[in-house]
Amino acid sequence: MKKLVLAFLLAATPASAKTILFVGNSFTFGANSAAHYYKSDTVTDLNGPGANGKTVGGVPAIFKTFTRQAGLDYTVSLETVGGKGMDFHYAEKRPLLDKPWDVVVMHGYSTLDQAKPGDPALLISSARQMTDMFRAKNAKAEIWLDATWSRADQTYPEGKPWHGKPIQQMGKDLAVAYDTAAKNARVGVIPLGLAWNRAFDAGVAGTDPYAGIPAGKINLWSWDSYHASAYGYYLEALMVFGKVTGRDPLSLGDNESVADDMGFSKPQTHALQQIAHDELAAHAD
Amino acid sequence: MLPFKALLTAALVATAVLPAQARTVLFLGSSFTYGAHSAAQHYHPELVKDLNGPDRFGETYAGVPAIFKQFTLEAGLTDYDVSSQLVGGKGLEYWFTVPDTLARINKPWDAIVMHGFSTLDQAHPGDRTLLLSSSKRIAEMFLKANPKAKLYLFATWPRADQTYPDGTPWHGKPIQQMGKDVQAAYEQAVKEEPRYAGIVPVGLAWNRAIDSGVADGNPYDGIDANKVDLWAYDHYHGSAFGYYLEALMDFGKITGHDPLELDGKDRVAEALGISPQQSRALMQVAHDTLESQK
Repeated sequence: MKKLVLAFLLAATPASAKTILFVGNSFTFGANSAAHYYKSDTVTDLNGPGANGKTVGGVPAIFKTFTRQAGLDYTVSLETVGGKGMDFHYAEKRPLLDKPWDVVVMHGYSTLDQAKPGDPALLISSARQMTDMFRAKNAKAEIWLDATWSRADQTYPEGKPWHGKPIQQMGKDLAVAYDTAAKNARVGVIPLGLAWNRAFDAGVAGTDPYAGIPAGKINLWSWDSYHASAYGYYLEALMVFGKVTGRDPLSLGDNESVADDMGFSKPQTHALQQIAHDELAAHAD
Repeated sequence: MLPFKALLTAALVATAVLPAQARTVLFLGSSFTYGAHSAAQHYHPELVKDLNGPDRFGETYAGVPAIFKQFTLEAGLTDYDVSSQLVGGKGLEYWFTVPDTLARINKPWDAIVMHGFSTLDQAHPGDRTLLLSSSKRIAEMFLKANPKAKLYLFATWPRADQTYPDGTPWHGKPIQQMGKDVQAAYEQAVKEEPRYAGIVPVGLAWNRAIDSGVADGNPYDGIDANKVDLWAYDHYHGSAFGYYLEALMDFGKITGHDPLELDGKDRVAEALGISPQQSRALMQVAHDTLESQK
């Protein structure tokens, strides 16, 4: 009888699944790549279908697929709107977001502030606002800020904010701003932009798509040299996976299924996992 | 009264049996049709019937047949019923060695798109003998099942991995040569079996994409700025761009519609990470290639 009750309790509490919410923009929904609508049925898009009747898969669906392969149980939700920072989500999407999530991964606009590129003030204040909201519902919520990548289109063309600087600079500047925002809100950072820099420095990824992509290298950017390609979003999902689950991205292995679905070679898959591994090791707490 | 009643009954029966007057299309081929090593492989598998059934991961092939089906929907053609029978690395002769599979495909299809191995003959690259005999034999079978079936041969593309590395069959020749040689072999096949409805000259479309600067001609020395790589990472199979171009060619040839009609309507490109400009450029290449073959 006792055993039966226990069994019943276990069966009735499949709440072993952790809930994770992704809040972001096109950098999370996987714009301009095959990640955008990837396995959208495995995640919940809190905004529902878009104008084309589709819901987002994106980085959250890649993360979900990683966790499945690792034998982990996450219930994945997302709330994404293109071109927006956390301030927008706080102002416009609170009814969807204001819940006791176990884990939240979020990020701001790709230049920190669309009106004032490079200015961290809005990131810092909005990260705090969002964190306070989530922690009011679940004091133990694990919250991560996803520090985004260097945009080639903000670096190489004339007149752009990072023009004339090395391609790594924008990612470094963003990392500094995110570190400040994270400290202020007492949350963690996923150093994605630094992982991109590492991929450039290691020769895994091409650094200037305006000059073409050298043989044997991947292009982390999409055709607009702004958003990510499937490779870039894959690296993003690897970094989230590593930080959130604590698992080594290399444990997913060369036969990881998303990579195959996206058309990556095994050496490319391995190289991206190695970059994520190395970047996470460099930032181990 | 009675004839009218009989007529009415016949009409009702016909309506019930063939509600949509669907046009059935079979894609018969290999990895070049299922979209190996690209995101095309899993693009909306629910749009088509994969006669293989689910693989060990429970997945079915989408690939070029699914992209083709999506194109027909975008063009307002709602009655295409698309099936595929695809096995990697096989030519047309293979289907006669697998009786169960042969029985599955030996049906009165309205249209069939098929192709041989990418070097014409895996054991003897460039030798068209096997393509000629197997294309003849399989045409016989399909036309017996439906004498009105429209049979198309999909002439495949030049492989960079068979052209640039030392010791490969097309080594030292221009990248366009393998596509031309494959096209010539398929043209002879149609000459010898004139009941074929025609060739889908995908290899010539790749050549045109390279010649017009839309696509890069040599992935071994990197990819030029503003060009697409039609090949996958192995420089052998197609990339999403390559399969997209293949599907545009199938669409143009089978439906008779201009691939450029899809400009502004197509949703496949976005889902595969192809920009509107790249999509339009590939449509133009498909359009120009089909025009040049008229």
